[in-house]
Amino acid sequence: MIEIPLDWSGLGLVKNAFLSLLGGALVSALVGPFMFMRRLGFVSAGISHALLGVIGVALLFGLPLSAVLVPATVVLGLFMGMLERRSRSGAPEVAVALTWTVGMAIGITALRQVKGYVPDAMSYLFGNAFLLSGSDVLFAWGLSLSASLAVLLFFRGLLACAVDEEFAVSQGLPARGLYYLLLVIISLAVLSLVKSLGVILMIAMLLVPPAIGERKSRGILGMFLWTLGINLFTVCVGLWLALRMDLPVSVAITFVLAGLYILL
Amino acid sequence: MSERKIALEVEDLWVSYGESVVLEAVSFRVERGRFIGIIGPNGAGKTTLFKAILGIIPVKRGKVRVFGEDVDRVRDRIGYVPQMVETNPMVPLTCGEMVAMGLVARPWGVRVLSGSTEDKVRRAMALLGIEDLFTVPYKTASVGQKQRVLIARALVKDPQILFLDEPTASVDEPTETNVFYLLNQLKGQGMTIVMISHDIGVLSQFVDEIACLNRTLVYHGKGGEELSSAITSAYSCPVDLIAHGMPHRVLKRHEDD
Repeated sequence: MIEIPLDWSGLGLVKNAFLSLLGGALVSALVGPFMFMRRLGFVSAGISHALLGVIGVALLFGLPLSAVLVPATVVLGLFMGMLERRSRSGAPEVAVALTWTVGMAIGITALRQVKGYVPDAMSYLFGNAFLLSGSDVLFAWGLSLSASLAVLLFFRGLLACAVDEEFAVSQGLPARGLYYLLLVIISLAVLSLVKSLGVILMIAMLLVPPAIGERKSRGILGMFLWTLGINLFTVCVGLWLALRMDLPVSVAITFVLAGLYILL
Repeated sequence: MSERKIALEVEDLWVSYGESVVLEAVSFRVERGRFIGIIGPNGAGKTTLFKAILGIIPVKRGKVRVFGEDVDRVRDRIGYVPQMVETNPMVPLTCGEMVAMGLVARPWGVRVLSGSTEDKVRRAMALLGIEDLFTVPYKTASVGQKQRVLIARALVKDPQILFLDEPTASVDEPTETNVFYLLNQLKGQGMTIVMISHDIGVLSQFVDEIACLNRTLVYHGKGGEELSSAITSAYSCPVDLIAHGMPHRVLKRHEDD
């Protein structure tokens, strides 16, 4: 990946972490509510966990991560969506869990086989926002903006399908196409968060704020505003906590989200 | 029957879920401006028939035409009230936003309610007497209110044909009667109404014709003795004829009870 310096002050790494998480807060505020409303948390967690397999294989074969990750994650997302779709008509949901765990197993195995310097598997599992380079931040923002733009472009269709997919079809909406579009959007959102929050803990950032937003709001706009507000608060407080208590950012953010979920 | 007069035409419709045939050679026509009630025992395929007509599920064989056209070409003229269980309780919409969903015919765009759509939504809600629910969260509305919100959602685009899948299930008697009076009023304005109901007694007071479905169409007409025997056969139990020549009440328990 080409290194682009983005540290404008002595606090460059903190700033990179903050900027990256800010992009994550934005995309989570737009994508998270749809994941929550459509009960795609399990599928999304499957995508993020199986992503470790893609990372491991890419590193093992010396493939450029920046070129491989986007298409591979999108394919993974579509595959997971297909499995989830099938599970509704009777096929066991275990297929999604199997892809998830096999993906992780492949990732761990591949990372163990890589010769020479390998990035710590733990940093992919739990993220490390303080080790992000300028190009990492730009990569994450590119993905966040793409996913956010897609949500805004197709907001009404995605919402109509979330409310009642069969009614949406009766209205002439391409429900199946919108479902797979949502899976692609989720894949991009997951990828934008992988380096800062890790494949395991990012799911809290995507699912907890909309769950609180749903409880607190009277209408759909309220849910999205609550989610955005919680995300921004969580990023700021989580980053502060991480610096004060010498915690990984993802861990601090998870604690903040858990606290908010209980309190609100 | 003149082609121009026909609102709905179903011809030799077959639907199956995997190996299991749910609908078999169903054929019927509904004239414009008529109110038809569809009855049948549980599992008879009534909801499946609606879903097949509306293109929600694929058909194995057969043809459906609405106003002489393929359904996809006339969706803006079709209103649909699905069973209430179909709506997702995880989506926090106000009742006004829920009604506005009936105007979403294209996937793009951000705003759910704008100036012009808000007027239409308020008008549709006023028809059902629920205009005061506009800003009320849908999830907190009562069952009867939710049912009326879903009917308003179907009416918001001024459809010419309305499909209702048990719209009066779980509502109290006055609400049920009000719904039927509204439907009758809409029929008077030229709307074609196709409605599934279990309440044969109330249905029989309002509909012009009735169809009895049990995997295949066992009866389609205006009622009378022929319907009575068709229903007895479909429900596998005797029925009594009370009002308007329509079957009203099951007299005996099923043999296997």
